[in-house]
Amino acid sequence: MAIITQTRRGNNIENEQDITEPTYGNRLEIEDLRSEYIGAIQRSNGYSSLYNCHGMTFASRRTGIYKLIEVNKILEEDNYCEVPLTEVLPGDVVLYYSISGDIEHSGIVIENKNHSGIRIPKILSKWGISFEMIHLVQNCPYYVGNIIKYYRNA
Amino acid sequence: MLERYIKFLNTKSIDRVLVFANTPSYIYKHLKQESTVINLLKHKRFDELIADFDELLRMQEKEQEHFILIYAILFAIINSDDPRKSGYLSSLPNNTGIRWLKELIKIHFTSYIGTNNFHIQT
Repeated sequence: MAIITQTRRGNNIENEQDITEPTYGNRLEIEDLRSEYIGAIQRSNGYSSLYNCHGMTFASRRTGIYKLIEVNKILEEDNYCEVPLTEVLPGDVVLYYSISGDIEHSGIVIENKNHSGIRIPKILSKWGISFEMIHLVQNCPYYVGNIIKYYRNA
Repeated sequence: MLERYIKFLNTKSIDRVLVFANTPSYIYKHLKQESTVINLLKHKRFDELIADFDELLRMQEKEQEHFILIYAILFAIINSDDPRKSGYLSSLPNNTGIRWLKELIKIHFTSYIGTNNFHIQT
């Protein structure tokens, strides 16, 4: 089911609430895969397909945004601007791009401490049909070979 | 049926894509390039793939391995050069209960295009 969600310019964002419950096999696999990411903290309690990472980042967990063209529409119509890593603040958005330029994942920055001159932001993001996770920006399934960019709108 | 396929597939890798996918295009890109899915065409004929795919869709009780196999066979079919491919994919019903099956086929038919056309001035 889709709900009415719009950009700042008032254009509709195509979305879908997925009510499919993860299978028992999914849950076992999620537990198994999660153990690979030591240090990542599970935030949410349950499994949910109702929203995806983009739904968490851009639609307040109300629904899922599954088309990349819709994410690009939000970036443009909500006036997001890229910010360099050194200026990233909590509340900014992180996007993981593949080498071919596809947005594969999104999340919200919750911390960007300076560790002896190195900045490694901490992110809150939803991992597919799995949980919301708090993790260092590289410590997630979407980092391998990907390009990370940060965005802010005001 | 599972035994006839599992030995050829990296089920962990496929399952990983399915669990962590946030969008259909993520599944499309990663499973289309998954090496054991590509190699499945060396071991299975197109007719065999279609027959097994249909049988999997008809199954009432599916385990996680069946879902993995459904996506693996789907992408083996998508990667196939068989001229019957388009007709077969077009004929699949909408109500299969397989997550994003319709969307994945739509992506295939609309010639997958990346989204790197969005640039923001910093």
